[in-house]
Amino acid sequence: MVAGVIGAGAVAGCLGSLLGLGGGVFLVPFLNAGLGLDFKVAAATGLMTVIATSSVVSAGRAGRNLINLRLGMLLEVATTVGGLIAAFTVAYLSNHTLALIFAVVTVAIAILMLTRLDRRNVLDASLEPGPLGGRFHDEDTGREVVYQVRRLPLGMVASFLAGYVSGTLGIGGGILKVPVLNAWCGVPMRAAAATSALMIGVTAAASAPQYFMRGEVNPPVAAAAVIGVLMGSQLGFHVGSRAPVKWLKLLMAVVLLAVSAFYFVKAFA
Amino acid sequence: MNGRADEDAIDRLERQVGRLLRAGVWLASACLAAGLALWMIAGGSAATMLLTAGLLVLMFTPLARVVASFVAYVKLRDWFFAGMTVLVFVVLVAAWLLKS
Repeated sequence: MVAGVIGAGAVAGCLGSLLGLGGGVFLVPFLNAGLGLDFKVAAATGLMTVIATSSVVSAGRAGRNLINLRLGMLLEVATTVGGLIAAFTVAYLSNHTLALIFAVVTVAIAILMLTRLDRRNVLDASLEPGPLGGRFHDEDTGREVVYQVRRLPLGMVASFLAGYVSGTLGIGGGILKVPVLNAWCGVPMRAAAATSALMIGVTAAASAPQYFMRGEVNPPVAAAAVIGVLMGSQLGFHVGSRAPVKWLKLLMAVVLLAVSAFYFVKAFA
Repeated sequence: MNGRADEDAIDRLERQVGRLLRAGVWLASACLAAGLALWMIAGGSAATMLLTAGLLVLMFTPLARVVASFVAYVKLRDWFFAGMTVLVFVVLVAAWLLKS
């Protein structure tokens, strides 16, 4: 059991840190459907691993200007409120309803990612990024990258929803935020993933205490999952800065479709 | 809000935040690993205590990050973003104090 959770955590952590999602999105279905744990226990475990992944990935990315601290802090206001509300309302939502909403949302995002595989939100390096934008050195192309943030209110709404989904399903909200920040708000994929990785920790920290105080955290399972995810995310982090952006997007879309299919089956079975 | 000095300060903040997060996760995972090993071998209250301590450290690490960011923004006299960190802090504290 412990070895299984550590192994699943390692796989989830590797994929999660590659995509800035946190490991929860892969781990929660495994714990719930694979090991037969109660959905809320699985979600609580997911939240713990999300905090761990977030901290490790952000620490590793620090100092390379990939993380947009200002944009992150602004969106965190929305995302933590979403996470907090979720932790209180999760008791009143049926698993069937949640699974269905989640399946629909993930399918929509996967399609969005697939239609934008070749788009890069990169401006001329001489342009000013503005108060919320940023610039960083892209290891993939070896060039200085500049971007401006557009449609901030949309980013706030997406972050609130991401926080809510994160708090109810125990996944990192990155699954919603990264595509929206990338496709609609003008943030390059790498910066969107790094900023999201920072935000999901605080988001999960807004939901986790309620699960913890309700006794829905199973300490040994959570510990095994966190240790596995930490090992996996180290691996993913080292691979991540070298993987081409297009393949990252494609991998993300495939993962989203798989998760979506799982929740559709769960909703109708 | 622009200029080289502020950009350097933000860069420093980013590195400090990185160190803080790394320290929190190391401490948490050390507790969790020791607790898990103990739980598998012997079980008992010492194991439970270590596991609980690890989970608590883990959950408080993002909160510590928010406090560190607040201090940095106050030093930068960036009142708007200092205010944003206070909002996030209030929500995170509410997560512990409110009862469901």
